[in-house]
Amino acid sequence: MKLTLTLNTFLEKLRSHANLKSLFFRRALRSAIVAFLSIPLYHFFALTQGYWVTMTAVIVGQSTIGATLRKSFQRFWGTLLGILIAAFLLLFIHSYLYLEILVLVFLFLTYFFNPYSNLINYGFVVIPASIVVVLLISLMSSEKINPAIVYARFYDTAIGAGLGILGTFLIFPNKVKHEFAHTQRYLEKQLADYFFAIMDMFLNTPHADRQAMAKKIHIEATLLSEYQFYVESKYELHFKTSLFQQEEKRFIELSERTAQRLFSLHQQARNHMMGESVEKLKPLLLNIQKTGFLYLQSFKEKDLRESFTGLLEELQRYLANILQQQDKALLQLHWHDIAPFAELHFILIRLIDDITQATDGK
Amino acid sequence: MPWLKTLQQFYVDHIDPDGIQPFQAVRTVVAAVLAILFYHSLSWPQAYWVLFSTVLILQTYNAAAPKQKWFSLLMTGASAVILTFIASIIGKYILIIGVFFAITTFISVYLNVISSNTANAAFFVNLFCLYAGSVSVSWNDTVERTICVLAGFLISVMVCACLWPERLPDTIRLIIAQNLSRLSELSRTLSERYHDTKAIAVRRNRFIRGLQRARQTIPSEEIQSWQMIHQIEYLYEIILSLHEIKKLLEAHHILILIHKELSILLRRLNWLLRQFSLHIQHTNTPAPRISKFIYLLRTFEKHYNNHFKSFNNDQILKFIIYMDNIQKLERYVNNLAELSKRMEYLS
Repeated sequence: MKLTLTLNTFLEKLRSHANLKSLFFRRALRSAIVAFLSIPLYHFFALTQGYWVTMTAVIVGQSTIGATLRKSFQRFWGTLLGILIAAFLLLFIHSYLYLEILVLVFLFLTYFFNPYSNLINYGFVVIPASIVVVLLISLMSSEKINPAIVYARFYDTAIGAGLGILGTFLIFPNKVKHEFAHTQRYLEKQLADYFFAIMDMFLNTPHADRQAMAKKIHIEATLLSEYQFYVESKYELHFKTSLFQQEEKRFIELSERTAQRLFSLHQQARNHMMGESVEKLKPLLLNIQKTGFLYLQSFKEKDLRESFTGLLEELQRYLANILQQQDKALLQLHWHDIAPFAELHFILIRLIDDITQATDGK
Repeated sequence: MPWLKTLQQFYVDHIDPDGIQPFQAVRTVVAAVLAILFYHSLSWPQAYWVLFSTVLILQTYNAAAPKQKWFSLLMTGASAVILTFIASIIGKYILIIGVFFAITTFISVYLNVISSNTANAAFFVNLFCLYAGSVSVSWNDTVERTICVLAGFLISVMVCACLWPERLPDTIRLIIAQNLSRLSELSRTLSERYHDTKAIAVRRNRFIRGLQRARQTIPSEEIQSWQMIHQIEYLYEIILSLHEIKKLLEAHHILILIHKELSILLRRLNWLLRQFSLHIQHTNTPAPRISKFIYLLRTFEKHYNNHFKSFNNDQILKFIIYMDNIQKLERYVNNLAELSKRMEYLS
């Protein structure tokens, strides 16, 4: 039963992305085409160890042009350095036993530097991996290692990286700005969800507290992963990065401020759940109204806006009732202020426009 | 030696925040030694596939999420055996192998929709297709190759079962302990290096990643472990509140005594979190006693309440959100102590 449910979820996910608008689908199609083209290519030119071309082309092909250029560059210098070290070692070591020991040492190093994370430069991961591959060939293959093989490995990598880059530019190209805009929409939705979760806390919905916390951590993690776009965009923008760098700093500051604002609301919601005095409810209500109203302005999607308005009205009634019950006058609410939400959104839109203009060369 | 400490810190910050890679590397090397010994004993021309398959299949176990390690290993191994066989047979037909490889590549990249770990495993299987299909071989070689991949698969299963087999309770215990120690480290950095925004960001990011990993790893049935994670999250917010108060106190040059008490309180809290982390990770480490911390907390509250009357309106507004949190600190620390005692059920 559980397995069927999981399988259905997987299939649903796969189905939902099966269109040319999906970045995953475009990347998968592009990789498949590049892989298909590379096989006849290396057979036709009878390249030594030609499968290396295909492997490099598939590995360097990332979802955006900037990411591909970044990975290609890192892989290229990593491979180059790796094969140079291996070739140097092979000039002096001819014993099979010593070679096997060296393979084990570099295998250890390869997996010591986690190959699955982007925490460090990908080039560092490739160096020991390339050494292992060259040493393995000399150990196992009937083709004994010679300068020609080392040279072949070098030009195979160059051809593979070139093919991967060409594919990214020509087949369903995606620029960083597209992916950035895509994740911004996702982030906007997450922020909205977080806001709703906080509102649920005010309305005493069961488990709202935990849900809000989970959303908060999720948003922080998303903001964390978004940093890669700034790095990758530099590969696309070349010399026009100064503007972007300035915006980057501002964006990060604003994200922090937004998180801070939500955090403050979150704290107040929790206090409210603990049963706070009316005196504390006044600034709380004002805070919700201000943040909510300005957040409302920043929503583009109509459905989201309507549900958000409904929730705000419900919340206002709820809090007003509490105030009235205790014979307190209703608050005079002010609808003007510049909240970080609106400002953040404005900055994001401007940022995307700036990147568009810079990349289009206007 | 300060340089050694710096190097160690660099390794933890940039290379291995989870502290699991040395185990993975040793496991890979042991498996590779077994594979080398095995292929030497075979003396087949295709015997090197044993080493190749052992190393690659083992990586899916290393890379997979704790809940899916064995499933991922078995699926990858079985797929590798089947696809190596097929790719070796069709390797002589360039266009067919081209189409075949294009399809497997499409699948391996598209699986990123589900998770990057699944896509990684599929990528490793894809490499078997690529190598097997790159050179045309005879029927005998195809059979030999397939048997060697199967042998490599069995070696990796054996090594994973014997060397640091990753049990879910151990993983949960480790994750919780890591989150506590990362929270302690973040808090210490906030106290001692509050001008160093980069150092704070690194530690905060590591803590957030740790929490996210915990959320992805701990099954919903593990109620006690989830409660522990919730307590850590609440404490994260409270610690942020404490540091906000500290900043306010410094900015306004007020209440030196409260500031001093707060610093002591924070130091004790950091120590407490670290000790809880050690206790959860190594059950033989005794649980820390929280009585001194509670005493310090009450002293701080007493000082705060004494000075509260002298606050102006602006100060009251700024302090009130954070101070409410501090009043809950005692409850959360008590909960943490209670839950850490109950964590013994995980062993």
